[in-house]
Amino acid sequence: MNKINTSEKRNLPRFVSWAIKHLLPGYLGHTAVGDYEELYTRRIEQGSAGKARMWLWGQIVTSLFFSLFWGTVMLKNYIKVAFRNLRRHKGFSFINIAGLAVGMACAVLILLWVQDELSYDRFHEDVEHIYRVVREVHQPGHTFHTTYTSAELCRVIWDEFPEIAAAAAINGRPRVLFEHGNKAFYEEGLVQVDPVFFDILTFTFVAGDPRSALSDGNAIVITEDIAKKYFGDEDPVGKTLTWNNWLDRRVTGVIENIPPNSHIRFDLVINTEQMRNSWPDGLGWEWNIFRSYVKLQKEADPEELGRKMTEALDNKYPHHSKFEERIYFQPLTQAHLYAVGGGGPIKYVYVFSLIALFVLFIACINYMNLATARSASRAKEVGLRKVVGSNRGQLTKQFLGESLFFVFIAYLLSLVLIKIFLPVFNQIAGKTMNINFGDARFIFVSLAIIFFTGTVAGSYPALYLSTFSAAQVLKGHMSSGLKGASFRRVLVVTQFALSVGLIICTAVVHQQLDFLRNKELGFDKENIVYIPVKENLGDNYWAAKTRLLQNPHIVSVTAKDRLPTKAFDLGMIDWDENNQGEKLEVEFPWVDYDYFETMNMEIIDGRDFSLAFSSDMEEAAIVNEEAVKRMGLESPLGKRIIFPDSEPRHIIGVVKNAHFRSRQYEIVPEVYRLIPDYNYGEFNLYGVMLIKLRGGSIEEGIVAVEEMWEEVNPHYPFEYHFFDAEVDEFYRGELKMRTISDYFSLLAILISCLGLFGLASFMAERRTKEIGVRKVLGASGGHIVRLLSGEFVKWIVIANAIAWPAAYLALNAWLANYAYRVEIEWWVFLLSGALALAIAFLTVSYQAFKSARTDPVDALRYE
Amino acid sequence: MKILTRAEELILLAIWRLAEEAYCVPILDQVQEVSGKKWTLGSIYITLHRLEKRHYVESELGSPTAQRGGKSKRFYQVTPAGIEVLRNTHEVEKAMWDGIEGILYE
Repeated sequence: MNKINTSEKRNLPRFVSWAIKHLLPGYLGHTAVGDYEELYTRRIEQGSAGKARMWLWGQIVTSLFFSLFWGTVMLKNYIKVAFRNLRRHKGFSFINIAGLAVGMACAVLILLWVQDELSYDRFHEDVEHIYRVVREVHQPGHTFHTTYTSAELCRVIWDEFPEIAAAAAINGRPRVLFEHGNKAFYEEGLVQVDPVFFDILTFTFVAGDPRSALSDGNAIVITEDIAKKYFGDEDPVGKTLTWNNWLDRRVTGVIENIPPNSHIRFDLVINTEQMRNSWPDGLGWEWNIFRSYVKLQKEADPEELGRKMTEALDNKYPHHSKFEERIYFQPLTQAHLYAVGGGGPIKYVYVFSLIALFVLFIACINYMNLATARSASRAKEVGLRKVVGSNRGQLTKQFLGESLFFVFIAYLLSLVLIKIFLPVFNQIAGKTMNINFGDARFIFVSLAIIFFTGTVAGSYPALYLSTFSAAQVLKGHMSSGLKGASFRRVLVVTQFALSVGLIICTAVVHQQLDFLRNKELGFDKENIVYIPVKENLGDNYWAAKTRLLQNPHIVSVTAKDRLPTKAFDLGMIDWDENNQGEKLEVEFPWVDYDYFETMNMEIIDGRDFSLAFSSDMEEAAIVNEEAVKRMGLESPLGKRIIFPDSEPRHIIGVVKNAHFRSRQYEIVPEVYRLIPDYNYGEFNLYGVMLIKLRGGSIEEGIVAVEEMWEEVNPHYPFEYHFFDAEVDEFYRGELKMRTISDYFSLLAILISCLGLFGLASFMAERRTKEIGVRKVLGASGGHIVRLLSGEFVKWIVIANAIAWPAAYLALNAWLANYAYRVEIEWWVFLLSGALALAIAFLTVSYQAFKSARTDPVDALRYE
Repeated sequence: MKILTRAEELILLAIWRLAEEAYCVPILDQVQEVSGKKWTLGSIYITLHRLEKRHYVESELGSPTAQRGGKSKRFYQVTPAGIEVLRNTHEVEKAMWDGIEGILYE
């Protein structure tokens, strides 16, 4: 992006040239664009493109402002009139300003959020040359994109391709206990990386040298938070952290805490070296458990390189994958927003931007409605101004200026609102955004918002009011503000269509997320706690299990290599009667006896692992439905599965599919094996102990587990977690989004109602006399209420007719992102419509009842 | 007797000085350099437009050049009426200053 060729820099943004042409007298326009381009180019050559762009926009914004007011010697008078209007009609002014303020506050908060989302990972140096390696894997009948690669892939591509300046593989490690002195904590955020990692991703070092920090196999790099936690105010460099009670690691570097807008998160970093010694197989082609980041040479073309790499891997390393694979690069700046293979938080960026626009638009509609509705009271002013020589252009400017003035006041108010609600919003959104009101960019964006809102809100009133003919108005032929009534109707319908649409969408989003979290998970997440299997617990697992089972508060006990919700190791299997000619990539969970019973997962064919069959340990495997489907087996029981890392086993049972991970993703084929009772290399396959507690006596159950832990592992702090919290974690992102959109939809509806309230009270006021006459002639209160609210009700019904199909289409598109989704039900539409109607009716009827109850004498004496 | 505003005077003089090269960009450079203030291009256009309306300057389009991406320049030239009004302005100033220049250099 930094390289700008000569033809690019000459061209002004299209809006700018358009503005120049229209702001200047016609004959000047064409040459002026050239002049601006010349100066713009000169500025780019002198300094940065960014500064030149700032200058250009500065010129345009100031020119726009001046052109609006230029030549209006009446400016002072306009401001005076605007102020008088504001004071005379306090109620309307309040509705206008409050609506605009809330609308703009929403828009600014959402813009902040969007900007924060877009800023992910941009703090690395040369970020435009950093990429993440993605594999597109074509399995029979199933294609997927994944960022998991093998360490070997990362190494080979760096060796083979000069276009790659550096490549590093990173891999998260299971929890480890670290100790220094008397401080001991479990650390979740441990990763292992290739030493070149910090050359690619430039996290800031506060101590130590990024290039050499990880060159030693025993080195560890920690964040400032971790340094503070273990070492307090001491200098951590050179000190040691003891790893799982047996290995000392030397701190060689301290980095700043990972910025909140980094998609990679970790607290401690070690070299991959240790894995090379203890489990060299894990670094081979078979184990796709790493993520690979590369930095390309400046002139390299990532797409071309991806093609070349895919080809070279197929030719030179035919064994790199069992399947047809395509390798490509994803720019680091997209890593957060775009999930590989489609989707990702980018959709929220769009949805929220749209909501911000809607809310702002609804507030603008309020302004337009009230301004045109009150046109009768302004008509005389317009007439008189025309008589004393004002032309239409000047009047348009006046009313546009007036709306800008209102918007400006509203904006000041919205700044207060933003200041108050930013902490709340931060909490909901799980971010740490802040606003610097003095920041040049913020001021610039603010001006843009004010200008945009002011122009949109003021456009129609300005055009409409300035058309009044002086003679007509002054002769009193002005039909009390009803002239613009049809347009107002369109506006109110639009407003309510947007509101109803938002209600429907919010409701269906709720249904979908509840469905994902609760229904048909295929397992039972309640009353299960889990503890890590640490140190002595691994060796004493059976004794511990037996002991726990004796406790009446504990229903069952089992173990697994990792939490069911965590990503598993992937590997290739072959099997008897494999007529697909290719192996299948599956997950290999290791479990203890009673696993399926504890998780309440249903065995739909065959049987569970059982102690009664001693051969189960070595020779049995249980597969899930998805694996059976992918393998294409008619009768899976008894078939042999050939593993890459152990002897073949027979399938003894089929378990129902369970959604342990976000339902957004499809089920992965799984092959379960029993955890062997011997150690597997250096690794102990017992990762977590899962304990099902009895419903009413959770507390007692946990006490029993703690007692067991104290006895087995006196040197390790006891900790436990609830499994259902872990499962809900997957939907935390979505739940956050849901809360945010809930609030903004609510605000949109509120602003609509505010406008409707204003409009209704205006109508009632205009018709005071009519109502008085009607009452004198015998109309009942009910009749008056019907008269006043009937019209609004009609509009809302029309708004529903527009909103329903639109919402239906939008929701269908959104639901298509999910592999498992709810049906869109008709009653949601009805209910939302009814809700909108009820809200509108309540709003309007307040005014209607008030007018219906007034004494006709007061009404007729009016004026 | 017509006289000019300061902005008009500066720009008119800039055009005169620049002679053959008098189009907006050098005019802007010149007035910025002399006055030491930042001017927006827009304010130059507005003043030029007013000067032209009053026939103090004349303009003509230059031929388009590739250097400006095919957009031609508009060259300005001071008319006799422009010189007349400049002379008037100058004389008014001279008259006002007459005999009191001393205050500037006390």
